Amino acid sequence: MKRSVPLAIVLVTGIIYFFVPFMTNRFTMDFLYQTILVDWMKIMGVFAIVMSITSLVRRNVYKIQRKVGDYQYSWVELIGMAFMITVSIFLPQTPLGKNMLLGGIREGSVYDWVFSNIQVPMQATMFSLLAFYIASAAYRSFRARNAEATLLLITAGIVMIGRVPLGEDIYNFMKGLNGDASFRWSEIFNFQGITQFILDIPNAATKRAIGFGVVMGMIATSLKIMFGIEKSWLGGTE
Amino acid sequence: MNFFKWLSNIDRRWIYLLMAVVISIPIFIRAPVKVKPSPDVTMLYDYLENQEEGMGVLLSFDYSPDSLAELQPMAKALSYHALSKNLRLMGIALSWPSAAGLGIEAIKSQVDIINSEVLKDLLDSAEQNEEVKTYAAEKKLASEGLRKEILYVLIAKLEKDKEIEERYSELKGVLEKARISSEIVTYEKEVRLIGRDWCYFGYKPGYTQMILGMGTDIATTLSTDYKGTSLLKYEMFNSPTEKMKNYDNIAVCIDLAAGGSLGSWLAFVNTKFGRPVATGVTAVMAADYYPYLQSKQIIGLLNGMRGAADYETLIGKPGRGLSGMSSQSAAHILIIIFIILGNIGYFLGKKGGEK
Repeated sequence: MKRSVPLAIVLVTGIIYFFVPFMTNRFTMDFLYQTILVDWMKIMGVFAIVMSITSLVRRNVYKIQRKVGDYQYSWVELIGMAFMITVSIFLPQTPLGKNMLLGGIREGSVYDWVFSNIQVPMQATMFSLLAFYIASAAYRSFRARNAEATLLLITAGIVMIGRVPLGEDIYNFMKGLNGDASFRWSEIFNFQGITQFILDIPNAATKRAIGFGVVMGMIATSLKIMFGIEKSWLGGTE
Repeated sequence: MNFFKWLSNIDRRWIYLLMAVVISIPIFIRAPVKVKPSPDVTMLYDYLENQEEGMGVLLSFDYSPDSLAELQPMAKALSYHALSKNLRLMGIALSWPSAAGLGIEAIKSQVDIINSEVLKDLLDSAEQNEEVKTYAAEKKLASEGLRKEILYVLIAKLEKDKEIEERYSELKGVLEKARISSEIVTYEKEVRLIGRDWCYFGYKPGYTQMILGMGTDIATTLSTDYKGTSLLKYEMFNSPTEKMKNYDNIAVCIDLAAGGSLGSWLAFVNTKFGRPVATGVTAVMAADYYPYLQSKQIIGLLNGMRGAADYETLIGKPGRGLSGMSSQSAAHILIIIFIILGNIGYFLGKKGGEK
C-alpha cells in the first residue's frame, strides 16, 4: 500500500500531464492548470517552507548542542535568520532615526538596509573570487598538449578577446593598416565576428545535440518512473 | 628549478595579486569605452523600440546578489528603455527570495531617473526656494540628497503614498508652504507612477505555478505587489480598457537569470501561450542559450556584462556595464598572457627534458 498508492498517483498524473499541453479546453485550463498546478502547488509550497525552516533550525541546534566542527557558524545562521524574521515581520514600521523604519521590508527599513549593505556585498564578494580562481585554473590547465587541447585553447583565446572592446580596437587598427587593398587580411583579426560565429554555429549545434540527448534521457527516466520500473525515488532498499 | 619550469608553475598568489591590480586600476581611471552592440542584443532593443505605448514588459529577476555585477546593469538598462518608451514595466522575483530587493532597486532607480528628468525644472526651482534651502541646511542635505527627497514627496502626492508622506512630513509641509507641491499635478501624465506605469510584485514562491497562472490572470495569480497592496487597486490591473490581464497584454517577458529558469518561460510563455521571451544571463551560462536564439524561441540574448554594456550603448545611457568593460578587457588580457607564458614554459621545458 505504501508503495502502490504513490506509484498509482505518479502513473495517473504522469499520463494526464503528458497530454495536457495538447489540450486547451476549459477543464484543462481551469482545473488541471489553475486549480491543481497553481492553487494546490501554492498551498504545498507553504508547507515546504515550514518544513525547510524546521529542518534548518533542527540541524543547526544539533550542531551547536554537540559542538560539531565549525558549530560557531550555526550561531551566526540562527541569529541572522531570527533577526531578519523579527525585523521584517514582527516589529512595527515606526521611524528609526533619519528616514529609516524599524520594521517592514520597504525601502529604508532595517531589513532593507541589512540586505543592501551586508547580504549584497557579501554574496557579490564570494562570487567575484571566481575571477581569481578562473585566472589561476586557466593558466594551469590550458596547455596545448594535443590537437583537442590546442583547439580549445585557440577558441578560448578568440572568444576572450572577442567579448571585450579590445578585440574591436585591434580589428579597427588592422583594418586601417589593410586600407583599401583587395585582399582583406584584416578579417583574420575580426575577433568579434569570429566569436559570434563560434557562438552561433559550432556552439549552438553542439548544445543542441547535447540538449537533445539530455531530453531523450529525461523522457526515458520519466517513463521508467511512471511505469514503476525505476523505484529508487520511493526510498528504501527494495 | 630552471626558468621554464618556473614559467609553467608561477605561484597562484602572484596571479591573484596581478588580477586584483588589473581589475582595480581601470575602475579608478574610468577610461571611456566604446562597444559595438552584438546582433543578439540589438534584436531585443529593436523589438522594444517598435512596441506601441502602453504595452507591458515583464522582467523576471531570477538571480541573487552574487550575480548582480553582470545582471543588475542589464536590469537597469532594460527598465530605463521600457519606461522611457512609455511601456508599462512589471517586475517579479521567482527563483530567489533575495532577488526581491535587487528587482525593486533596479526598477525604482530607473523610475527615479526618468521622473527626475521629467521634473527637472520643478526640482531646480524647488532647490532655489529659500524655505527649502533652510530645510536643507537644517538637515545638512547636499543637493543630490535634497532633490531625491523632494522627488519622493512630490511623487508620493500623486501616488497617494501615505507612508512616504509621513516619513518626509516635514519636507512635505515645507513644499506645501512654498507652493511647490501644487505644481506637481501639471506633470501627472508625464511622470511614471506605480500601478499605472510600473509595478513590482516582489518575490512570489512557486515558479512554474506563477508563470502558468499569469497566463490566465496576473492580478488573481499574484494578488499583491511588493508592498502588499492589492493589484486590483492599481489602474494597470483594474482599468476596463487598458488592463494588464495576462501575457496577451505583455510585449515580451525577459528572464534575467543566473540559473536554469529560462526553461519554464520557454515551455509555458513561449510554447503554450505563444508570447515572445528574451533573456539576459551570466556569461558562463550564455553559450547554453544560443540554440534557442537560433530557433527564435527567444528574441534577444544579453550575454554577461558585455550584454549589459551593449544595451547601455544602444539606449545611450552608460552605466555599470560599460564601465566594467575596461576591467574585463584587462582581466582577459592578463589571462591570455598567463596562458601564453604557461605554454611557453611547457614547450621549452619539454624540449629541455623537463616533464
